[in-house]
Amino acid sequence: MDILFERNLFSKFLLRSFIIHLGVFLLLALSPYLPFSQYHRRIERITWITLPKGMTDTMGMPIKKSPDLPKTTIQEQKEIPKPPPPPPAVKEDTLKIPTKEAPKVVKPIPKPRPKTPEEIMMEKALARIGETVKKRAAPPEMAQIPQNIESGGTPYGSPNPSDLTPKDAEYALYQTKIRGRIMEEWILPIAYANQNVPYICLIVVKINPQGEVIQSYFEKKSGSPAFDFSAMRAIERASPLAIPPDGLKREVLTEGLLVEFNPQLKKD
Amino acid sequence: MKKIFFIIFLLLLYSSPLLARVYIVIDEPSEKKFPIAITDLILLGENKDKEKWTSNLPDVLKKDLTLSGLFEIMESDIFPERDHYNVAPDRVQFSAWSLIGAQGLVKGSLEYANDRIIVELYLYDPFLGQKLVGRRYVAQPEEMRIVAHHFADEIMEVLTGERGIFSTKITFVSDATRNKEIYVMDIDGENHSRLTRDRSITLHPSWSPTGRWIAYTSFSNTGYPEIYVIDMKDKTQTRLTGNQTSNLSPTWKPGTNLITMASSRTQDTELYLIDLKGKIVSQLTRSFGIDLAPSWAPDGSAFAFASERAGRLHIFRADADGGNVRRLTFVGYHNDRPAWSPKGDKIVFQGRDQGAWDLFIMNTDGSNIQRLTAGQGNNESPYWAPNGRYIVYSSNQTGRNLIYIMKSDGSNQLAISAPGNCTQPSWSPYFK
Repeated sequence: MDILFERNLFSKFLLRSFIIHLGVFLLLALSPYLPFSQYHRRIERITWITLPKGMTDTMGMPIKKSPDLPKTTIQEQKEIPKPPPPPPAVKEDTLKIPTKEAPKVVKPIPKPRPKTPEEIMMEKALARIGETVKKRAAPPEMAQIPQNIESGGTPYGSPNPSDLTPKDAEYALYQTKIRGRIMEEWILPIAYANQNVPYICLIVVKINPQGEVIQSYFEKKSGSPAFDFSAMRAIERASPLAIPPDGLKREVLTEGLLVEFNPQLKKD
Repeated sequence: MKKIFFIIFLLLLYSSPLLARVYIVIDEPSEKKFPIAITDLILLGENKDKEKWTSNLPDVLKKDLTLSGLFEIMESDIFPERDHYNVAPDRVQFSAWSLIGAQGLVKGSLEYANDRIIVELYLYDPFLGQKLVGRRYVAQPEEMRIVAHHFADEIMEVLTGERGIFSTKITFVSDATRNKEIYVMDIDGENHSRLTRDRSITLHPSWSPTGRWIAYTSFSNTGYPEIYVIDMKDKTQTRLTGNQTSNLSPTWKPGTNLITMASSRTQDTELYLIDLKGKIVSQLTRSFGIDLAPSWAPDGSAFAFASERAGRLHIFRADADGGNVRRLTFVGYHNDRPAWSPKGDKIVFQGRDQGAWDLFIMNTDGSNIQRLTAGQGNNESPYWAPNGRYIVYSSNQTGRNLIYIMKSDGSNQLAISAPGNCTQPSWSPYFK
């Protein structure tokens, strides 16, 4: 009898709990449509994108007015050396802030000793390099180039939105290297580059720790044999690719890279 | 028992960490040129090939494709099939050609039949082992260049999806006879012929939208620059103006037989529209300061021109009736000879910078000015190919004025040879 009573009590409790929960849920769900709500219009959509370099002309933002005619040709701008790749990831332990300040030791200032001929030569060489680098600095109209291949920015957004840890920087760098290498080798039949036909193919590429392509197969074909062949040829020619970082060696060997060939992305 | 299963399940879960594929997007092919192998033609039947068209015809083809800036012509010493006798699709060793990296392969045969030549030409894709184009031509020996240009057009059409421009022509001014006369040539600089014998100064030839006429300016009869047209059917010349003032830079309005010219008949130089009888249809500009060098948008809805109304010479645009004038260039101090692209999206013009003329390109609203030539003498008189991919212009970078062709991004600048100092080129439309 006691047990039955307790069961009834329990099921009543459950029913009440259910009704109250439902009520709260309905209140929350319908609140934007209720007349007293002052927040129902304040829904904002946020889309996360990565802006590639130099595409302001296509985005309705005018290019900065130049005081004169441009000094370099489109072709010269393309030849300007690309910026060096980002420095390798910093190990975590080097980022540790020392807890104790080292005791200051006042050292006697050493007298400058005469420079050896080698040192003078080295200084001159460095100065020369510095000057050439200065000369090569990108001109203002650099921004008119639609997009730099090495920038790594894609319309899909940043490859990994949380690339803040050292491992992720390395990951992005590896992606950029692979992308540049395959792009270099991709000779698309000319017709496809000019047409607005959405040809897309996906290729899975498995890579051994030395960076060599050991297996590649189509995950998705474009429907055009010529397009698919050109993509597969690019993969074959690009081998050996960059040596994968330690953290990725297993992934690229077992799961592989997923390479999407999609010229339309450039135009969007 | 259940516990054991649960533990095994946990162990399995632990031993397979989630591995994701590294995702790579390739959204742009390289700028490498398309490697194409062009073999000599096989001579069938009796050997009457005095002019060596078996190699001359492929040479014309090679030059055309080089001018296009899209192809890398492969050297013949790495060709796998030495005798080239396998022309038919079922006999070509495609795997051998794809091994050397040829992405296109041109083969063909040539046969003399009475006074005519039968030429068969094929374009193959060695990787797919497919024939992309096959054509059979029956032509006179003197028409072999036309056959080559035609097949180059076919190659462009099938590989780019755009019509080739190799069968079009270029008209220009040359002083080869010491007088400036109008000439016409194939786009590879060959096959040139003189159209005028005015023994005077002729300037600014401009091809009509149908290709039937060429309008130009000549000082020959009146001693003043007047507008003339040549009928390309019978090569007759007709004078359209006779007002004994300056009548300059004739250009045709697309889709019409009307000519736009700059005339100083009312003291100031303004733009007028005249018909083929020389009658003024309308006056397009009325402003202080000279207006000249009109160039029409392909749909005829607007035109660009150079004007001094803002002090220095700059590029302006106006609607078809001459209204709604807008200034396009604000930089530089002497911008002249705008040419509106047949695709309608760009205007190329010559601008004076650091003491020399150079070519610049911009959007039709004047934004995004980019330089096409630099540090190579004077580069002048830009004019578009009918497909909007190439620009023809004159340059004196070698000391002598020559006609050059480049891609519209300024790459692949190649001189095409012709006698004398050659200037003021105008590209023909497609001939039907």
